Amino acid sequence: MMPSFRISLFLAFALLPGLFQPGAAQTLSGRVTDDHRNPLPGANVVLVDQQTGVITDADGRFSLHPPVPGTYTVAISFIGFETLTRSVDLSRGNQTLNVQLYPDVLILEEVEVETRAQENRLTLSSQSLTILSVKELDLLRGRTLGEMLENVAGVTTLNTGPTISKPVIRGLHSDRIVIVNAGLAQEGQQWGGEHAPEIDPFSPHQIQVLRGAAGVEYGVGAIGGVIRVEPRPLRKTPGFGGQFTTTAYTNSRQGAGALLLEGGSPRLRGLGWRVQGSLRQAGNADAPDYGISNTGFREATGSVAVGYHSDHRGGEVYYSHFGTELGIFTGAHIGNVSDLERAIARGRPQTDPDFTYTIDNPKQRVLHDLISAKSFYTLAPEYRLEAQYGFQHNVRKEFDAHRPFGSDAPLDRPAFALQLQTHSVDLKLRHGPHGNHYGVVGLSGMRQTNVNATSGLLIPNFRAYTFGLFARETVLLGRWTVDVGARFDLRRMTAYPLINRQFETRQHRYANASGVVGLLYQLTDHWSLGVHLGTAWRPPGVNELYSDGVHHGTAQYERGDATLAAERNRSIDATLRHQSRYADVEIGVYYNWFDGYISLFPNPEPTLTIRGAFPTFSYVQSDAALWGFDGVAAYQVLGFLRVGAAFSVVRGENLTANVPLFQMPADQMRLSAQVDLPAGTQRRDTFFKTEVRLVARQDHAPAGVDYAEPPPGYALLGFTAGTGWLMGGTLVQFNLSVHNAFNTAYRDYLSRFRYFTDDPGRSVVFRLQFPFGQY
Amino acid sequence: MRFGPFLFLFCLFGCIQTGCDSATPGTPPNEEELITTVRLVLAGNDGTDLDVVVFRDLDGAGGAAPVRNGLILDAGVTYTGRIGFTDEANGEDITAEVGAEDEAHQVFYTPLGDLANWLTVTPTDTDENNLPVGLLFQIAVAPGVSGNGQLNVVLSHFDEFPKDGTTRSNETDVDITIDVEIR
Repeated sequence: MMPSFRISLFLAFALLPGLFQPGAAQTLSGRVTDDHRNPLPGANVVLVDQQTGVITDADGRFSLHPPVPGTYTVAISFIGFETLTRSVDLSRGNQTLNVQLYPDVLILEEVEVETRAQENRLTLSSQSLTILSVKELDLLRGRTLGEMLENVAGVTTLNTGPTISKPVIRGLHSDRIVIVNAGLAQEGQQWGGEHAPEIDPFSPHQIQVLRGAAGVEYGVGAIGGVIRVEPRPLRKTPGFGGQFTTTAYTNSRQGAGALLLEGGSPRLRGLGWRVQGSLRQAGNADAPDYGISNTGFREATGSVAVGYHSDHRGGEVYYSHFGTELGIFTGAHIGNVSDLERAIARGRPQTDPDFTYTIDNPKQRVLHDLISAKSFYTLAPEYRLEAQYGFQHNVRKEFDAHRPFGSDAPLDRPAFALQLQTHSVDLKLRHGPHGNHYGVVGLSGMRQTNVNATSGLLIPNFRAYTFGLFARETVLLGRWTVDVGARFDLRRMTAYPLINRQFETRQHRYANASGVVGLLYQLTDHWSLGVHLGTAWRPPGVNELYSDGVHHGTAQYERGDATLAAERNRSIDATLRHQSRYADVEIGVYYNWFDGYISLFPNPEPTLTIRGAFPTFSYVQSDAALWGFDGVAAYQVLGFLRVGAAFSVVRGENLTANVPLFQMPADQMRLSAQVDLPAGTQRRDTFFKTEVRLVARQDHAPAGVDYAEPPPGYALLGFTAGTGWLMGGTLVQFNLSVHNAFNTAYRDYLSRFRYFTDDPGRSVVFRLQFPFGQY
Repeated sequence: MRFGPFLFLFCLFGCIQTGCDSATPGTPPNEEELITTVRLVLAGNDGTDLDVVVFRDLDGAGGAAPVRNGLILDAGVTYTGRIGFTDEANGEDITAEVGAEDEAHQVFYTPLGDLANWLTVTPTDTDENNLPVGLLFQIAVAPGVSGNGQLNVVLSHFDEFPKDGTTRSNETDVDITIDVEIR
């Protein structure tokens, strides 16, 4: 088959406990073949709950000898094929299991994920990469995407109240990370700190977080990292099934429900479809001592996907709709700096409202529609051509608290409305594996327009074209894996800023190259070390070029600079991984140096306006550096007890001005302990988990820039208990979580509302997941 | 060879390129209504009259710096005054609108520094809840003093924030300081 991959398979098996001793009571034997009846040597046959298994011999045959009679779940897998799971009853003697595996054409770029029972994380990537599996995501359903990523080492969130959270990877966010949704880079006014990513939090089946410059396959802006959100793959085999999920939260009385239906055509093998929809509604959130007014939200999302996959070609069409209405905490709606200072001095909101689901102004209303059409074609046994066209339409309206003076304009007329349309085309040619190497070359193009509605002008209208070319190659040399990639991008933008009450036309052009070199060394069977060097860049955002006005959310006057150049970075990061029977550790260390880092810098003089004097900030470029370390560790203390820890430390410094960077995440740590109960007749996956999150005070904040001192550190305690229950062949999952069990009053440094209100208090969450059919 | 689908995608991209779009803006929007000008009209009990545009910022925030004019008041005189808010860019009289929504507005006058000892400002109008509004007021200047100071004038908007007659809201529509000289 593919001799090079047998090396990694063999290594994977070096980690597993030894095979069961021979001479045991019953035997499970069989043969594994592919869909053309060819034997598959080297396929993994694993007893899932026992985490032991064998690989098939040259004829695809295997033989397992579990010592105890009973029912076992067996997973059969091989790289490039869909994993098959079967339940086998060995209580009454030997059994034979012959299976056929079907090719899995969904190879996730250079990352090839093996069965969930035996992820060989040691050789996954030379970069810091975390994969959140569907099981882990199911325990987080009902939260926003940003909140779901909080548990990933090195990731924190930038919050604007309880409804808006954005992921921050090693101190970088917004325009410096790329979020890829179903293969398409999400384009939706992400420059705004209070603009959350418009992704249905029920849809991800897997989330990959790549920390650090991931320039070559993802285009401009992937300076800080990439978050890939993957929906559930389409069925390629006949059948029908689905899953219903519902969640309820006590704090904010959030209710949510999601339904997924999928099917595979019985007549045309390889044709599948999926329909998904979800609804979420919440009212005002509660801090421990008072309600936080106007923090409700309503969200409705839906998606449809249809695709055909055979081993040589295939295509998929996907449409998704995301719509949300979010309340913005009214206490944060301030007129000027002295309003802000008095709010800070007050220490708590002026009003303590009763609970309501009603969303008043100020509020945001966002719609995001996405259509993607992709196809692949196998040209020759080791060449595959992929093409994708995507269209995204994002409409963002923000409604002010009161109508402008003297107008009879209805309150449902937005203060501004931005419409962003993006067309993108991507072409990739994948080659390999040939012997010990594989790679990809690609071309991508994007056209984007931004149009303001008649009221308000937050960022100018613009039209931008981006064109990119890249190549990446990975070579496996014994214990080394070498990864090299390069990319060239060109961006041309025409902006129409309003200058002296007239629209001007301004052209901008940026061209730059980025590259990565990664080395992964397998030190021993249990340890690996990855070192990654990268350079990436991003063009300045339209807000950084053309801001000229008061940013009400922060009571500052912001001034852009149309002469800003592109931001470039060079980074080095190292990741040490350990994986053994009892322990799982990953520690990363990084240094990220920026040339032309764009940030807001305070001006000596405020801007005087009718509303008062506003501290003024200009977008400037400087040399900057971000560095830190983060990691995650898990240890199986006893068969049923697993303890874990994760930590993250980020430092950022403006090297030109010699001051720390503003809004860097504080040092934090998470400790957890989980007890797994053995399965019963109907009860499966029963666990109880307790978790403590410790966040330090941010002591490395620049002086004289902020209106309030960084808030004190805090500790939050949480519990989760869950179980699966086998009901008529389906495994229904329930879980109950308590967040902030002690109802601790705290404020997070990265919360934009920390000047006005505490963060939400205790919440009890109930989740139910009900699969049906052949899900 | 199935290159058809890919050719189609290239063509689609090309067609989009040449098609017309709405990014090119049309006529500039009307300037959002905002207060550009604050004017004080005072009549002293010694017969003097003052009509001063204390703050004018015609192009709104940013752009050209606002123009400020100070007040010269006589010691020992009590002035009856009114304040005027105008949007000169659009030719709108905002004072009338504030008066129409007086239960949601209040003008606060705060003498700063030494001026607090020399000058007292008292609103003379009330809204239907008997809370002061401040569009009409009286300034009493203490006798026998002279010097310079500043008067802070704030127009507060009360939306969700309750109006109680003494506390400013967190939504300020006007917050200016006027240089005052007392002779």
